Amino acid sequence: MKFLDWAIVVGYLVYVIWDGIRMTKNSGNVEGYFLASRSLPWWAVGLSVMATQLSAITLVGTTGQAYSDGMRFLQFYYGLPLAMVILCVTAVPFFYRAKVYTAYEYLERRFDAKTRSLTSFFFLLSRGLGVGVIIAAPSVILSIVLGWSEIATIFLIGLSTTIYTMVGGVQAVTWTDVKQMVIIFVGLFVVLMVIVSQFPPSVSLIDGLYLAGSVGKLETVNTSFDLTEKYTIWSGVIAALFLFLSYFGCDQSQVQRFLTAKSVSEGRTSLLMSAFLKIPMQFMILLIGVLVFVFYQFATPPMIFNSVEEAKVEKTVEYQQIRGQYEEVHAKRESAALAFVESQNDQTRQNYVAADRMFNETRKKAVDHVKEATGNKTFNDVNYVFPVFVVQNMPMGVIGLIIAAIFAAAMSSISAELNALATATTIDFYRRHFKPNALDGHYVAFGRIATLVWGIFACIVAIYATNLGSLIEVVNKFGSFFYGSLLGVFVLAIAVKRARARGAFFGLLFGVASVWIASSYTKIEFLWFNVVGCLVTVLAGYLISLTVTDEPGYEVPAN
Amino acid sequence: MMGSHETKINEPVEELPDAWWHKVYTAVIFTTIVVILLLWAFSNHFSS
Repeated sequence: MKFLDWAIVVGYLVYVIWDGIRMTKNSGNVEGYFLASRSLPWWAVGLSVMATQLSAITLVGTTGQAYSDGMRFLQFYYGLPLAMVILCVTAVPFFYRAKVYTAYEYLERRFDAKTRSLTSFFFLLSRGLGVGVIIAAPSVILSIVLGWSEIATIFLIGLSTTIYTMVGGVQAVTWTDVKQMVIIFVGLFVVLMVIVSQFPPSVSLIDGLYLAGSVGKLETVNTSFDLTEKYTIWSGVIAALFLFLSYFGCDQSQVQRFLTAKSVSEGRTSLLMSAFLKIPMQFMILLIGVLVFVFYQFATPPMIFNSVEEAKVEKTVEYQQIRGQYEEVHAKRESAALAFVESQNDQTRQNYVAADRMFNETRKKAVDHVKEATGNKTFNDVNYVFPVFVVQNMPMGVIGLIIAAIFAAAMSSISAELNALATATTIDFYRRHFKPNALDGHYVAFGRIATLVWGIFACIVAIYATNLGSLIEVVNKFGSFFYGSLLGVFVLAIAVKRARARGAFFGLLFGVASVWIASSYTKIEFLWFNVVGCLVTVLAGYLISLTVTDEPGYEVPAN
Repeated sequence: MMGSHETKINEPVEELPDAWWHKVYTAVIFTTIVVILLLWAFSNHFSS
């Protein structure tokens, strides 16, 4: 990194922390600190919704996935627009008019305090751990780029975000999210342009897409109905729909976004902004990964992208032999790629596909050797592809911009999660169970302390989360353990009139247990856990509710 | 636009009618189907 890159990164960090901290003046009371006094415009809330979901994992993990596996991950988002429409009809008006601070607060009105506390606890557990993973991803990158220790980087990212979130509350989160999304969009657009400009003169963007397409990197629709297949149109439209309904409709980090809107209409519009923009934006991110793949057809890619793990094995005879083969197969693939670009016919295509297959087999040998020699059976360098590419191949200034964009993506998600964790801790536990009648200033002070504690906790989790394979899948997998069951409880609350507190409470436990069984004893992919958890919770909750005899005069509470 | 964001509380809020929202939801679903079809066509074009 040159001086200009450093200036961009430091300038970004100083500005965003200052911008967040100056929101203190509007955050003196509980509604101001946790809900921005329900005063924010739709476009700011909408950008905040997108920024919260788009973490550094999305930038780093999915570009790496696209490089190695192509664009099939895009199918994961096909259910998102439908989920947003369903939530605009149900959750947005429901929670907004209920005047709640947390989604779980409503469950006490409908069921009882026990159900509210259990759902809020599951949220705290899953997101408290999830935010640790979100901090870990950019820390991995910066430990490579800057040569800093991973632990120091984790605390730098985690605590700088904690500071402005703690001081400025939800307004700091939202308004910094807006600027962070601008930086991310600019960064993505610039890197896309620069990659294409670095192709050989005889290779156009269209040629690059034909190369990627011929080896299956551009598959965006897979109609297979195989439950063990990770990304298909069905897992996106059906299974991920359940995940998105739960994430955007039951997860406090997202519910809190639309609760800050000026009105129900503005809350709805903010979600529909994601419905329109998410698929194109994710396409652009995955396209960057595919174009990195095309770039490396004409420049030798690192055999192992994780230089730390590579250093452990690079002197072994076997590794040196594989390296010799690797350079040979890369040269063959490059010639085949150029021949295919020059004359696109079946023969050159088949030659290129065969050369790419040989290249992949050789790289797999290298990866297997690292696994064997280091004893790290879960070794996976997919998250290192994009940062290594940026540092080795981007010009001065662009490196700084991309690092700032990765920082922005990380901090926008971390801040929203910390703010939501603090809100649930304060409202669902502290105010509900320990100090129900204190002054506003007391709860705001407690909320700030809770933000700090969650920030430190997340940093500690991040230290252990840096070597968990593809990070984005880790986060989604972890969420899937709870999300479906949480959604099931809200379905019981809103749509099942016969549902009672006992049914909701035990239905939730049955739901989480069913997901644990499904993950332990079946091979179905993790996205389907959301469907399993939701259906089991609703069914078990309904059946258990039938065993409850209502008190005379009992009426289902209205919203 | 982004330089000053003062909180404006208690402004009168006008909600849009349900009929308008139904049209918006239909547009979202229709657009999504068109986008998926375009992506499918994009994949097929460059893979063939």
